[in-house]
Amino acid sequence: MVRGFNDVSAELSQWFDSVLGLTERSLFGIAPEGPHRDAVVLDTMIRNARIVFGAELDADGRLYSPLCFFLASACRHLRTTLGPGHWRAALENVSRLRKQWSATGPEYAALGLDLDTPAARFKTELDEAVRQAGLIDGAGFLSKEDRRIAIGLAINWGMRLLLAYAADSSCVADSSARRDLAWLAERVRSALAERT
Amino acid sequence: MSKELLRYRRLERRLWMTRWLREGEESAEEDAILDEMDAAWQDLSESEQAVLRAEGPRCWPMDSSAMPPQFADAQWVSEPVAWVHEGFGSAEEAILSAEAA
Repeated sequence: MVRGFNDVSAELSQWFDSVLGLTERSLFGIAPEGPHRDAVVLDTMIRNARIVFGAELDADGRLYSPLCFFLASACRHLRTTLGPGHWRAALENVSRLRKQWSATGPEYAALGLDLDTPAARFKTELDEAVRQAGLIDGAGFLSKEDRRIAIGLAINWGMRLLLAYAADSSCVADSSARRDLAWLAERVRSALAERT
Repeated sequence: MSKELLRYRRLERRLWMTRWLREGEESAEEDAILDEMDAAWQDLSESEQAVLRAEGPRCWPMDSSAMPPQFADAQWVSEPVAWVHEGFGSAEEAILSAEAA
């Protein structure tokens, strides 16, 4: 089944609302609302940013959970959520970069040069944004306002990494009701196929 | 880099963030930043304006062809600022404190 960008963006937004709702109720909900919960959110954001930062890209989904927990805690930190418009912009970006990569990859190979995959390029951008936000070293040189922007940028790159990572993964959706990486991969691949 | 250009870059980042938080929808906050940017633009030298024109806009988070904001010219603080847990030494301390309350 081929799905359009708008349909998939709406599904991704609903899926992420579920991730946000669940983490709010359970992971962050171990502390009462207020400074205590903010501390847990910050700790979760830092811990998962470091896991993703230190990880290699793989095809079997090991980055899925830390990336989702990072996105959820970063959104909670900024008091925002990710609507269909955010997901659509991310899908457009992934689609554009994958097309560019497919078109120029063979030319690079003919010159003996390795061109990073779109997922690898998004991970590089995410790594840089979380480093600039001071999440990796525990401290940073950006002002408080710019830190928020760096986290917003990290969410932006993290969404794109998640979509490109899902499209590249070896996960195949089954008939269960699970909305996991395989579910995500099926939708992303379907939307990207519609554009090719 | 002039303080006028630093100010303009800071406004670019704020505009990017404001638009991104609202999924690209227009807002009063965006209008206020755009007004401030118009004024800041007039304070830039011709060469600075030429540089900004040449590199294209950085304030369109919902457009996949637009450049992202950059921090290379942000006003860095002189000492690294550690992340703090709003008055707690660690998340663990915050949790224990909440349990005791």
